[in-house]
Amino acid sequence: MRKREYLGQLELMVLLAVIRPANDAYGVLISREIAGSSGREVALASVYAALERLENKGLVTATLGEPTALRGGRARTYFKPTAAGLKEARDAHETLLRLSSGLSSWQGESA
Amino acid sequence: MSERMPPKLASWLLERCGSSFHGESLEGDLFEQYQEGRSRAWYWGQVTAVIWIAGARLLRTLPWTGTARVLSRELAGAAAGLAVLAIADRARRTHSFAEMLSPNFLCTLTVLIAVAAVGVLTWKFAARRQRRAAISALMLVFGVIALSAGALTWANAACACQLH
Repeated sequence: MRKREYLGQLELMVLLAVIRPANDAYGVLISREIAGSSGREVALASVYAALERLENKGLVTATLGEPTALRGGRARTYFKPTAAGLKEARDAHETLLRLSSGLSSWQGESA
Repeated sequence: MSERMPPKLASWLLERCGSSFHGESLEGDLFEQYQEGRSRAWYWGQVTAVIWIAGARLLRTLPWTGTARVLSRELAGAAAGLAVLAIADRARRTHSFAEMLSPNFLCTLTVLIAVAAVGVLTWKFAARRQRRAAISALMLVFGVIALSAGALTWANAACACQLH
C-alpha cells in the first residue's frame, strides 16, 4: 500500500483556494483568496512554492496563459485541481470536521 | 495609463532568483500588484521572500556529499602546502644547528610535519568518491583542523623568530 502523504496547512489552503474560483486561479487570485479567508497575507513566493509541491503530488495542473500589458508583457499561469486534488481536499475537509467536533465542548471557556 | 516601474534592483534580483517559480508568472504577478498600487516596501518584501525561499530550496538540493568532498580536498591541499611552506620558512630563519635542536624548533617542526601528513592523506582520500555523507563531513573537519593548525603554528613560529 502506498504511504499517504498529508498536506501541510499552507498546501491545503492553496489547494482550497485553487478549487474556489471556477476556472481562473492564478498566483494573485490565490493569495487574495487566502488573505481574505484567513486574514493573513502570504508571500507570493510561498504560494508558488506550495503550488509546485501540489503539482509534484499530482493534485493540481498548470497552464500558461497569454502575456498581457498589465503584467509588463508576462504571461499568467493558471492552476486547476485534478481529480486526485479534489479527493484530497474532500478527505482533508472531512478529517478536519471530525477532529474539530470536540471544539464545541470548549465553547465559552477561555484559554 | 502610465506604468509604475518597480524598484530596479529588486526587479533585477527577482529576475535572477524568481525564474524557478513558474518562469515569468511570479514576476508578472508582482508587477500586476505593483500597478494596482502596492508600495515599494511591499515589493521589496515580496522579493526578499523569493530570495529566501529560492535559497532554501537550493540548499536542500545541493549534493552535500560531493560538496563536502571537494571542499575537504581543497582545504587539505591548502593545509599541506601551507605546512611545507612553513617548514621551509622556519628552516630559512634558523641560523645554527644548535637552534635546530631546541625544543621549540622541534615542537614546531613536529606539528608542521603532522599537519602536512594529515593534509596530504585527507587530500588523497578526498579525491575518492565517498558514498557516505558522514565520511565526507569528517574529512571536511580534518581539512579545517589541519589548515587552522598549520596557519597557527606558522604564525607562532614567525612571531618567535622575530622576537629572537
